[in-house]
Amino acid sequence: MEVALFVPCYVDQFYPGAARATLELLEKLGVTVRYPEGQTCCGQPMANSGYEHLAGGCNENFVERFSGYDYIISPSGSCVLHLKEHLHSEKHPVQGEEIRHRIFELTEFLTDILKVEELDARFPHKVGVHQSCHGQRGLKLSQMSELTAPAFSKPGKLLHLVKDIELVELDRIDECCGFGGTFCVAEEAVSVKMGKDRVADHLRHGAEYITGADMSCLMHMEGILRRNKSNTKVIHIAEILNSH
Amino acid sequence: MQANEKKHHTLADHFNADEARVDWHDKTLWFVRTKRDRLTHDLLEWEELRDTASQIKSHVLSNLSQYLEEFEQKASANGVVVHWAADAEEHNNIVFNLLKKQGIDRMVKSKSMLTEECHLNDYLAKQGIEVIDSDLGERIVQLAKEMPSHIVLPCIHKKKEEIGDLFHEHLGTEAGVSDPQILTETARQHLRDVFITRKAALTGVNFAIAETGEMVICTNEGNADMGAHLSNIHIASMGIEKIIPKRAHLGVFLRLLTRSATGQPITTYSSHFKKPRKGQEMHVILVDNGRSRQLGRTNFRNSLKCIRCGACMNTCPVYRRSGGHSYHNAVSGPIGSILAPNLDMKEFSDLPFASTLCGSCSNVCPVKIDIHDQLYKWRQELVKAGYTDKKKTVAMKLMAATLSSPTKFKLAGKLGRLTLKYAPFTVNNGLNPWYKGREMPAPPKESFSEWYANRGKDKKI
Amino acid sequence: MNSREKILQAVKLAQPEVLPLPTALETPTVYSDPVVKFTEVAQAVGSSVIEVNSLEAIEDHLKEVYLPELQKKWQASGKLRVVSTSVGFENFAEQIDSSDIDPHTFQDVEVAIMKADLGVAENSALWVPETIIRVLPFICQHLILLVDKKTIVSNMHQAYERMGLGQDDYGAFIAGPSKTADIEQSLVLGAHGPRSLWIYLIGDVE
Repeated sequence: MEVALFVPCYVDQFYPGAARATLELLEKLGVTVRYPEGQTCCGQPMANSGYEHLAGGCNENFVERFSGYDYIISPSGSCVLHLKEHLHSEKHPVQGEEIRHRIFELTEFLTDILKVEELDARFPHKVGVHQSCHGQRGLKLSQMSELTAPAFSKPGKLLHLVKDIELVELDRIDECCGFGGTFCVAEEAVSVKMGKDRVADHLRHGAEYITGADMSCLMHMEGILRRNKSNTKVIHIAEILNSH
Repeated sequence: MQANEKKHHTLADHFNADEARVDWHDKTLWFVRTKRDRLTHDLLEWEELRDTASQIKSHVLSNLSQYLEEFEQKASANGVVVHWAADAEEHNNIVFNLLKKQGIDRMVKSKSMLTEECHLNDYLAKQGIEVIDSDLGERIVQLAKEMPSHIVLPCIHKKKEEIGDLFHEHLGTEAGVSDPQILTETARQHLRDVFITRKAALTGVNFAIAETGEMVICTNEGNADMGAHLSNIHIASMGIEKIIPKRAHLGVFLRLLTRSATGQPITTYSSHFKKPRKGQEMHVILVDNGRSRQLGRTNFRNSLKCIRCGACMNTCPVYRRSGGHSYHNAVSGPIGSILAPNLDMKEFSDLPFASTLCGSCSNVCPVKIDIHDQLYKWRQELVKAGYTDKKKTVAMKLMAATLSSPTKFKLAGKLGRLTLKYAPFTVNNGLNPWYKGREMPAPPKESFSEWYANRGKDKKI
Repeated sequence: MNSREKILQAVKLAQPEVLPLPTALETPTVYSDPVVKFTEVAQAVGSSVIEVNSLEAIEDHLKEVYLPELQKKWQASGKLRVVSTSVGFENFAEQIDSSDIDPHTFQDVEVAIMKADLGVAENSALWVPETIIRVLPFICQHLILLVDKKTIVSNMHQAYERMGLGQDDYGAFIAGPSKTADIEQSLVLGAHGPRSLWIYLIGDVE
């Protein structure tokens, strides 16, 4: 199986550790991983701001870089959801359509395609799980608290395979952290308040780490934790699943 | 007023000046959301009910003209006078003329978001007609000279002490009294006198049934019934989208409405008005006011399915932390943000951006409106129509050019990481708003792609 | 073109091709004992539920339990105006059988006794059709509803199925005393309508 790794632009620039862990974890599980050169961005920053029509260049670049792989994997639910819903190519419409079906967020790839049942990982810490909205409600990585339906969680299932990890319960299991792309600056006051409240829930329950399948939410919460000089850290789920 | 002062982010910023109050507001509404969860999670067929309701509404919207005519015919046969209003002004005129004909200058009104949308009270006041709102929450905001901040819980933004002060000033309670029991009792006595003395009553309509010409009105307080049954003339105002085909469909909608709204199994009163009381006049005004235009917008048509339960407001993390007034529209919150741009794209161009697109609203919606997808689509429409900041467009074009080109991206990244000035989400706003409450990520010494290029040299993949 | 034609024309142009109506729900929840569920929900929304086997038993209960309770809990005193639109309470209540009475004259009614046609277990709603005076179940201070146990159905679908299109000019589902939580979500019973609702569930009459 040959998969291509898509590392979102801000992860590439600010959180290389999350991307490294994703790569190493996949390799550990026997997957041949390619990292196509010249990849940039999924186009979401423009699209969510109302400029989807300007995302054409991003789209074409994406399709050129990522055509022909069995799967495309990315450690970001938000970017994957955007591509699944909005990627299209004028130049290569068929390939564009194909990518939309072949792109997976890391944890859903691990549970649904690789069907991972065990992991050689250990993380002896108290951890709070942040359900990022686009991964959870968009990609349906976990059951949503609003619905009357059986509970499940793909990231949760994987974390339970990690030795010595202690997952903390939260008061609000799937409330948004308030990042929201350009929302975080355009609606600064509400965004920060949402982030503070989300972080406080984790702290109240003794989390040493906040993890999740989307680095952007974690970046937002990290910004708040560091501003408050908290000892609690954020960590991408790939780094926990890849820990030893 | 400066253009920016009326925008959501500015109003939300003011609301957040008092953090303890934001916490209180958030917790109060979250409490309502958890009550809703308790009731809905109990019902195994909940999701099937939502699907069914959504499909009934899809059907209605696809056959609305016929159902409107059927309703008109049945209601007329029942002795109800049917009026049609193309817009808010015509609606207000119809109400005024009905009152004038009877020489009435005082009216009691139960909750109707449509009359808020039409600014009926202001209009009638200018004509010398006094309107008293009889829903407790609405009466409170009326005394405070404010708009409702929530469609179901109109004064949810007010603390009981503030309500106590209002009652002291207007209804003569003792200074400092804020016990909800005492305040409610005071309002009961005050409004009972109003019900007894008013000859005209206006109500909203929750559901209008084409098959029977009935109008169903739901309240917990009993105020719609008190007003209507004691009046000589009952006027019911409804948007044209409130029609449902059959009486049996009430079984679906009444099961959904209050469980979603307040976490009750049903409202205390679900009153079915078919014919006027002996000697009474009953009127219904069918109001378009932009609804037929929204019906024609394929992307936003489904917003007309709304049954006004307010669940999307209670669950919305932005609404809970910005307050209903920050939406500067009669209907606030997520549903208001997809309805308002249809009324005035320029004035409400900010609302679709007052969201993180988290999607919780769509999940609680009892008629399964794809609210967060419509917010996304409104953003595209508003940008194309030129209702957003021109500077933002320039910045977006620059960003799009950078992100389309691997070479430019690499360069920008290198510069960016060094100076921490580059991050796609801060485009056009700079980093100041980010830094106000947050730190930026600590810059790594190399990007992933740089690390990978070096690793490739060792491993020769 | 007048507004009616204008609106209908605009709607016709805007609406999509006709979509089908869905079928009824497959298996809405039904309760093995609807009366038990009804009682549980009724109490949860602030109603009092009394099971009786005859009209005489109701009258006895009214005198021995209800009125003393009314006086104790609600400080109702003096000569209380009690009216009934249901026959059989002539010793106890003023019988109302004419609709030609100005509804305003009922503003001093303390207790109203009325009959409900059916009850719904899932939400404790009782269907009260127009019985002579429309405002009566709202304007009274305290409401008493009588309902035959056999008419309690499980859910709203069953209720509307049984009611059909209905012959009533007006009717209301009533579930509990009137209430509001508009002030800081604090629940207060007795908003504009009755402060209390007592439901007499009538079983097999011997």
